[in-house]
Amino acid sequence: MNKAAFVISLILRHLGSYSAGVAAMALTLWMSLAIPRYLQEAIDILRDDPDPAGGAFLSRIGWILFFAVAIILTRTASRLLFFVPGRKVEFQLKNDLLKHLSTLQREYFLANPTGAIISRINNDINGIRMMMGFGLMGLFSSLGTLSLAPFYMYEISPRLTLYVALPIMTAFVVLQLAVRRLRDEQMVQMKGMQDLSDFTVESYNGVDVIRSFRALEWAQERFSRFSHGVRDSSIRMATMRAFFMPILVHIANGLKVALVLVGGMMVINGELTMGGFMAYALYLSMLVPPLMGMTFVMFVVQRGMTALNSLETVFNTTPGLPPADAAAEGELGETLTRGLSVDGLDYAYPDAQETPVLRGVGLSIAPGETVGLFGTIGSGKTTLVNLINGYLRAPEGAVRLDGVDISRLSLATLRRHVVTVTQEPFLFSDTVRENIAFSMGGSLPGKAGENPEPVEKAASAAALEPDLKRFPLGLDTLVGEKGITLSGGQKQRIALARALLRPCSLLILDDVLSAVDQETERQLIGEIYSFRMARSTLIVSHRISALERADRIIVLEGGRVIAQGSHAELIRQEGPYRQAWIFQGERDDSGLNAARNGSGTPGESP
Amino acid sequence: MKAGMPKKNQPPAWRLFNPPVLLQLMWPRLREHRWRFIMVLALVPFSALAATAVPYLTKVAVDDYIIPAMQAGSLAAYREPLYWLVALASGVVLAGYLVEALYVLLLQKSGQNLIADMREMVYQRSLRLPRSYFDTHPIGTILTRVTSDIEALGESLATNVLALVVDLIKAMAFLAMMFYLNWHLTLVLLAAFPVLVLLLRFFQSRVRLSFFRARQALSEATGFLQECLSGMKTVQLFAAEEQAVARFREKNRQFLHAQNSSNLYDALLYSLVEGVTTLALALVLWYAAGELLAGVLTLGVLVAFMEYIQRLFVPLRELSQQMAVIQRALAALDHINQLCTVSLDPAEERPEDDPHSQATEHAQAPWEFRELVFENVRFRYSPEGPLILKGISFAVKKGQSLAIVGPTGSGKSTILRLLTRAYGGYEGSIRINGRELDCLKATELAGIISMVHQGVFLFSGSVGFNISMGREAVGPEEVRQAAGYVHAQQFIGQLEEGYDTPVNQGGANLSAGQSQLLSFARAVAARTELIVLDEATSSVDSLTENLIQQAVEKLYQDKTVLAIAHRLSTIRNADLILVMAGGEIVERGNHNELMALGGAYEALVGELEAAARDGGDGGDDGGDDGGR
Repeated sequence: MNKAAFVISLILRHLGSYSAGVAAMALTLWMSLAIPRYLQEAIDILRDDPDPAGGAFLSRIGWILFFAVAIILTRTASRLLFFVPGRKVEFQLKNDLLKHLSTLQREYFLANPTGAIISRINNDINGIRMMMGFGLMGLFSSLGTLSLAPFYMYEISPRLTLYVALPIMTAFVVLQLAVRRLRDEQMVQMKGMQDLSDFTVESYNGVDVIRSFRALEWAQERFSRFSHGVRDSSIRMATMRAFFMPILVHIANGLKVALVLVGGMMVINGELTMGGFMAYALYLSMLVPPLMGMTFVMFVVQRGMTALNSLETVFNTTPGLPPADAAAEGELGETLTRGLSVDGLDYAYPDAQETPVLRGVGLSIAPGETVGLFGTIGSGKTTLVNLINGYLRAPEGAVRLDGVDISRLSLATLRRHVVTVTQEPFLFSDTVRENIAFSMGGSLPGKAGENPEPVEKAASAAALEPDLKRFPLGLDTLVGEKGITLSGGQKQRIALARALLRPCSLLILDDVLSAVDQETERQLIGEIYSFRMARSTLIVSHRISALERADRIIVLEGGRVIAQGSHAELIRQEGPYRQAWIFQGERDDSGLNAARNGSGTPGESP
Repeated sequence: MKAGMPKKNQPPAWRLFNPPVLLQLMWPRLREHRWRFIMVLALVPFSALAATAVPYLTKVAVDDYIIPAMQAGSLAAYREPLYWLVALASGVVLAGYLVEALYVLLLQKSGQNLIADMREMVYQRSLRLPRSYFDTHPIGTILTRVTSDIEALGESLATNVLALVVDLIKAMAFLAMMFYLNWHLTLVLLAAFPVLVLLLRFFQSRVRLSFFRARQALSEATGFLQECLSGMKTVQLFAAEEQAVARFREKNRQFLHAQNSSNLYDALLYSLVEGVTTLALALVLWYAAGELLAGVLTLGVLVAFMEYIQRLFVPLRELSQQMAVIQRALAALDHINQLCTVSLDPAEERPEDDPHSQATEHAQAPWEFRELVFENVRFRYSPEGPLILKGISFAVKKGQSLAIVGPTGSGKSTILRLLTRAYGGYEGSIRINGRELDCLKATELAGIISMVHQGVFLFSGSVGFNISMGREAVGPEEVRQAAGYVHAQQFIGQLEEGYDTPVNQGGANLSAGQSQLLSFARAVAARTELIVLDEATSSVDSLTENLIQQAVEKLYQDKTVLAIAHRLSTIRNADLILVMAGGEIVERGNHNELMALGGAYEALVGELEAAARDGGDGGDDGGDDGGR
């Protein structure tokens, strides 16, 4: 993506608006620059024909009044015609960027923290918007005034214009030099601010350590050092601004004083009329804003170009996925006939190749079967799940759906078949309904309200009904930041409802009921078994109560499958499953926890 | 999804004058700068005077020298006074420039100093906020308060507010001079003013509202974006990318609409001010013509009026821009003020933090740890939340070691959070040497308790600093002794610059085990009696594991230790072991007693032994969470 070509393509996309904007701008400039000339003529007519009600004089006044009104319209139009495309560009770029980001994978989000991406989207796109709106307008308006005004001034008096040109140009050059130094200083200040932010984040992350070791003084001193650096840089910038920024305005004032001398002499000699003198003074005033504007335009364009660079790197990042194999996609039907098979699966994370997480894992899940996956923390459960659902890339041929290697499938196809509910449920700050309906991928906002039945069914299957009754607006209650705070268990059940709503071939529940109390867990497990029997389910947990009803339980330990069988079989053999069953079962039976008394685990044991 | 969403579309009223906690906190610093502010106030009229003088001197030149000379057809009699006048006017312009530069400079210096002070004050407070504040507010948000909010405030104070005030003072001066020169003409000009005032009033509320709506729409879109990015894994796993983008587009469209209306007002206001200026010019010219011919008005006055009109109206054009910046600053002020209103963690409070506080910090005599008692402690994180601790009682006497074990969510970390005063508001009683924990200051607590945190947190500083943490009592000698005590001196000695080796990015240049050893050294360096050990779960190489086990054994011998234990050795060697489940202590005793019980403890030890046989294999499932 060539930057200049990109900017031109943006301009071309909104060519109509920009052209109309340029036309309105030209009209505005022509009228506003004509006003001093009409003023000049009016004054000079009075000298020759001293009649305040004379037709010639009044017609000039009339024209100025007309211009005043017309300018209101053309100026408004020109500003809008430039600003609106700028905003549209911003709108488009933001959408495109998120669309692109949504194709990027785990590696990108590991390397780029959310905060950095957001600041990029907001700051960079803002910079481009400024360039495409304010920048272009300022450019045309400043260039227009700066080329037209001297022309009119030259018409009034060539000699005066030559006298004026030199100081103004000098001031402009001095200002540019100052602006460049200001920009350098601004980089220093931004760097200082960045360091300060980094330190602040570090100290907030370690605030417990800072407090328990009473290192507050140290943190404050460090912070003050950064803060003073930023302050000193700001003061240096302020000093430069204080001396350089008023230069243009005061040069214009100085030139008006010079006009009194030089122009005055010319009036005395009859080379200049009093009307010309006054018109000239007006033109001098009109020169200051575009000169200031040019400085600003250059700043905006530079910022916009930097922003384009930074955006370019994001758009050029690709997910790095191999292209999907159309033949393989074709082989896979709407529903699975043979189910999932994992065979000889070895896996190590790319950044820790020497420590394999999974070693020769093999398992299969037939359609309609419910399989439990048991393992302690660090046994590799979640890694296995992430390899099946494509969040991590499985080695070729190791994971197959109906015999089709998933590494040949597009992620979209894979995830049409495999739905995962992750350990930490993620909810949007939206209504409960939208959070559940969210899984019906591709449906547009508002659609959920039109056919409420499936959502309600899923919610009741996820045992949400008692909670919804207590929520102020039921399914339409807002959750998260702006709404009510949910308990961990409530969040997990909403995430579960979301998954139950979405038809799929394989439903993976990765430790999703950890924050749900045992009673509800039992009820939910029952619902999961009965809700849609046709599909396969993989329930991952370290809790025996979540697994005991599975058709088959696979025990994972140290990245290997060490046992398989039904609950009844597994509790009879020595191993982590039996140990966990005793530990968790005994706890239930201890009688210390009245709430959990009567729960069936020990009763079912042989 | 729009149903039930409370539409908050009224801009915050002038909260600036409502609860000025910020002002109270900043008052002493403001007072320090008062002479500078007085100087600025004294200089601004001079600047206004200079700005008013130049058109007036032009008028004098035109009426007294140029016109008479033109009529006389000779410059001779007027040349010298005209030169003097031009010299005077040049001097006034130059003086005007210098005065302006000077007051801007003075004000900026004070302003930037105050901004830095405010930043430091807000940061100091933020470090002392209750732990729950950090749990409920993302660090990014608190960071914004310290950085961009304060920047916005500084920018607006330094440029916009000042410009408004100066423009106002100048406008008064211009009007006064215009009245003096020709009051009829001024009144004619002022006829345009009611129109302008009405226009501004009409626009002011609308512009403010549309800016406010746009900002709200933007923050909503950004909020959604943040959620989308944090939940990208979920979005992708549900193949809901398109839907997420569609929603983001919807939110962006709302922002676009809000922006378009604010753009319209902005463009209209700018153009109307320009149009009214021109109208006023035509009006003045038309009226002046009669007076000019009647000899009531001189050409010089007309020249001066033209100039004054320009200077009066031009600043108004940028008004809508300035309103936007000022509004942003007011919002920032509101945010900062809110942060300042949050009460500090009572344990961290110092008398100077609270302007109303009557308390005084009385120096505490150093004290010796004797015993720690938990008595029927019950705790919930929020009033409606579930009970996390359901009546915990135990006691640790000087020299004893206590290990707490139990599954995740059993409440063992909560015990630690209460003990370290990260959270308060428990029921029951926690006493150290008979004094209730609630009444102790964080500084007193630090005198007897040192903590080994679970998530080893290393700061970007030297290795030595990460042990001393800048504590007065911990000099280089103490740092070396502490490192020796935990057997960390060996690897430190092998580092290129020893104790001065910088720690990069939270310890990226150290191994997990080395970081853990440093955190042990940090805890023993202050030589407090009670060591609270929150054992890390991540596995380390067997050599370091060995060193850590040795360090724990030494601590068991020499100190009083309370450990949230994951290591078999740490658990086994403790004098007393508490087995927790569901917020209760289900078993208690020493290793042999609990094994004999054959209950939860035995099962747990079995699990740990199985894991130990596997020896650090199996990677870390937590690694996946980075992508979320």
